[in-house]
Amino acid sequence: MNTTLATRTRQRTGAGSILTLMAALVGLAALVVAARFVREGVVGLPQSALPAAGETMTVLGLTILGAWLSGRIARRIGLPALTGQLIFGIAIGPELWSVLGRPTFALVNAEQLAGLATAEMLALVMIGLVAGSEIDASFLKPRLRSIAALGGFQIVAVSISVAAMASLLRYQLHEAALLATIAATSSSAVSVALLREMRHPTEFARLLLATTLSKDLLLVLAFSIVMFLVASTGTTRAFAPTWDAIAWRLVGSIAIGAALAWPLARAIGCVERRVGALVLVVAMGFVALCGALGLVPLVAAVTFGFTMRAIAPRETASFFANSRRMFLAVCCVFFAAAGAHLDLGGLAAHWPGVLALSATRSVSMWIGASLGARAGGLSPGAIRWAWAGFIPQAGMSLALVAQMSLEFPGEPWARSLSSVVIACIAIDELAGPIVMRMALKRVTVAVPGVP
Amino acid sequence: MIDLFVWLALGLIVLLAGGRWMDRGARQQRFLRILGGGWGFLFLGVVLGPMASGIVSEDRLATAQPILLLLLAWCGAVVGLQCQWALIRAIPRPLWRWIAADFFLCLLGGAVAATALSGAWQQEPSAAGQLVLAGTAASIAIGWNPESRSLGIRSNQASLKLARFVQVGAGALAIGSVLVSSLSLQIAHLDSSGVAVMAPSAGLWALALEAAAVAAVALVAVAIVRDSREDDARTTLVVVGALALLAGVAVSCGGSGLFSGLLIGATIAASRTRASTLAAFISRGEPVVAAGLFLFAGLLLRVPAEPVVCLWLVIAAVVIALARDILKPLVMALALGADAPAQLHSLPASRAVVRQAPLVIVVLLAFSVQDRSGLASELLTLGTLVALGSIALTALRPPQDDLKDDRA
Repeated sequence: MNTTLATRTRQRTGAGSILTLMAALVGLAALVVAARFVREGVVGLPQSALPAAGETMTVLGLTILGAWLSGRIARRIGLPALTGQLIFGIAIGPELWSVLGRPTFALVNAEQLAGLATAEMLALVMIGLVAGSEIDASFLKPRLRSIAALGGFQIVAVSISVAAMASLLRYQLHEAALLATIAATSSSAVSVALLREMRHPTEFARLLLATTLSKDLLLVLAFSIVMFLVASTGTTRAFAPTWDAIAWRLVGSIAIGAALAWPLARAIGCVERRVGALVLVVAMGFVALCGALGLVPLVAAVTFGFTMRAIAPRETASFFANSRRMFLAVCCVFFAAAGAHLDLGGLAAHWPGVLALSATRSVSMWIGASLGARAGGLSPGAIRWAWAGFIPQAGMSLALVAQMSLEFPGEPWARSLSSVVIACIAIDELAGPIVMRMALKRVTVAVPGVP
Repeated sequence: MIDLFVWLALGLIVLLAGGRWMDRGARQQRFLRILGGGWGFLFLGVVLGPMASGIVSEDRLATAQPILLLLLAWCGAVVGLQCQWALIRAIPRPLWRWIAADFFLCLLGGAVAATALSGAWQQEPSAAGQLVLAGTAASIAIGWNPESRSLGIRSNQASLKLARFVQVGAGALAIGSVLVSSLSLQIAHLDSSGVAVMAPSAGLWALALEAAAVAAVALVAVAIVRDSREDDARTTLVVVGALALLAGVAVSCGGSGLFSGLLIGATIAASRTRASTLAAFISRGEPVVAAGLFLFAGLLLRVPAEPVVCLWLVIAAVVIALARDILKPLVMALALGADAPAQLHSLPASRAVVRQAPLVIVVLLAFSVQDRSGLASELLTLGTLVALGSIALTALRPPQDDLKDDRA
């Protein structure tokens, strides 16, 4: 009887907690609406000299606090926190309300969302820093064969299957090639976010992250090569990028990340206080530098995090501890913004093709990852569940789509392909974290016998 | 997108503010001790800013404006954290007298200065214009620099007692300064053409909404704190999220975020439940926030184009600094009366009250967020000159070694 009472009390506490969190969420939204109403409705109010900066701060604060509350609510009902954050982003963003025919109901319109671009880039770089620091050489060395097999098999399986499905859906060869390359990518941001959600990250979770990061590096290069081939075949009006430009994107990103790690590891060793501010400055530096040099910020940041931890683990311990401290806020911004950007209109317009492509990707991912896991000597549990770790797509995939739109401006096929790919990413972004979390809960040991 | 040069400037701040050699240098050089760390960043801002090298141009500066709002709200929270009930109760009666005397005399001085200057500033003096000037002048005059160690404090009882009075008094008056400037600039403000407008009801509504926003955000913070285990990541999230949101709402209401920050700081200080980590996190950020605000002050500083106006600014700064040199120690002596430590004027800490409070720079930065007429930038120049003038007056008189008196 006591047990029943305790269970009931716990359940009531859980429900009460969800209600409290929801009330806080509604209160936040009401506050933002009230502030805008006062600004536009009260006569004689002083007008600030920095209205745009104020709006950016409102959206940033709303995103951080609101996404965290939504993440907690999601966790209470058994979903990953980042699914709640994505749903919060969808709810406040402009896309959902445009589809519903009520664009003025959006708490964050397209212009305000654009004001968060810097914060999003910053979040992406910080995710890269943390992701790079999670993997060290001693972990990688005994698992290289498993990582190569897991990544290689799924890239081949997904690329071939998605390209075949795209051909069946009557896409041109160059469109199918671009679609297949993007489909092979997974989300390192989701991997590292779920890994950080666990109090004690398992070997399996770290193996999935390492494989995703390795795949990302390879696919950035592959995507650039595919774009070069598409541009040089004459089927488009775009100028073909040169080989050195392709090489620069990947090699330059890795080189900058590695080269900056040496001097900054020394400088960080000299800074004892305010390391949190230093983390922000380093991340902002990567955003600015990669923007100026045309590099891939995520790749540069991952390389930087990995190299710095490898060369000066003791001196940089406080730097990475501070990065992890900010990770929660960073994830809230990143995933809520990703939710707000989701192209629900594109999904509604192209849903049959999108569903077919998405299903093909998932099935081929399952086949490829299972074969790769078996070839890589993973444990039976890992063989069964490895596929789930590669379903999520987010930052890197969207960055490749943006790159495609940039390289082929004014091409009708590029615009149409972008909406289809973004709609596919939307499905994987929403469903992926749920299945990945299930896998992480079920599997702990990835490679039996390796410490 | 973040500009590379703005990033370089921010990187310099953090490396300078967090480096070991900065502390070492400040400990060894007396001039640096008296000047304090923040002023170096102000000069750096001037050198990098549009007024000197132009490396950080107006356009580049615009990309960093959200950071300024966050820093203002953070600074307000640091000031507000001093509203702890235990601290307030511990303030002795003579110090209350001193605080009240300084506060009300500065208000009076501000009103007199506003009446005298409004004719020169505006062709048709208005009550709104006078209120803006009076509020700003009073908030510039209120308080003093809390730092007294650089003046050579020794460990005798009289010296320590006065140093404690100086620190606690400066903290309490900082709250008064922020309240006076926020209230006066919401009730009366300058429109884009520089005309002063009186809007008391709209201004009070705006302040009430800022207070309501603070209450709402505090409730959200309580929900977050209760729902999750305590760790640094959650503390970072709550502080950054709450301050960003409050700064944004304040700007929507025509404010700057300083007042909202003050209120949330006071709320955290007054709360009894698990808010100590939030308070500690906010306080830990103070040096970087101060460095950032001084850098912004340097970047936003404008010297008027007309030489006559420049000359008037310099004359005004010298007069105000000299007035501080005479009046502040006098008010201290009169207010403390018989409760003053022995040989009050020979104690080095008594010179601390001559120096202008560094918070004045922050108050004027907050004014620049609210002001579209350009007056705030000129007042920022005046405030900087007064601060430097008062520092120079303090440095010109070498601190007396009160230990000698003790030995004698």
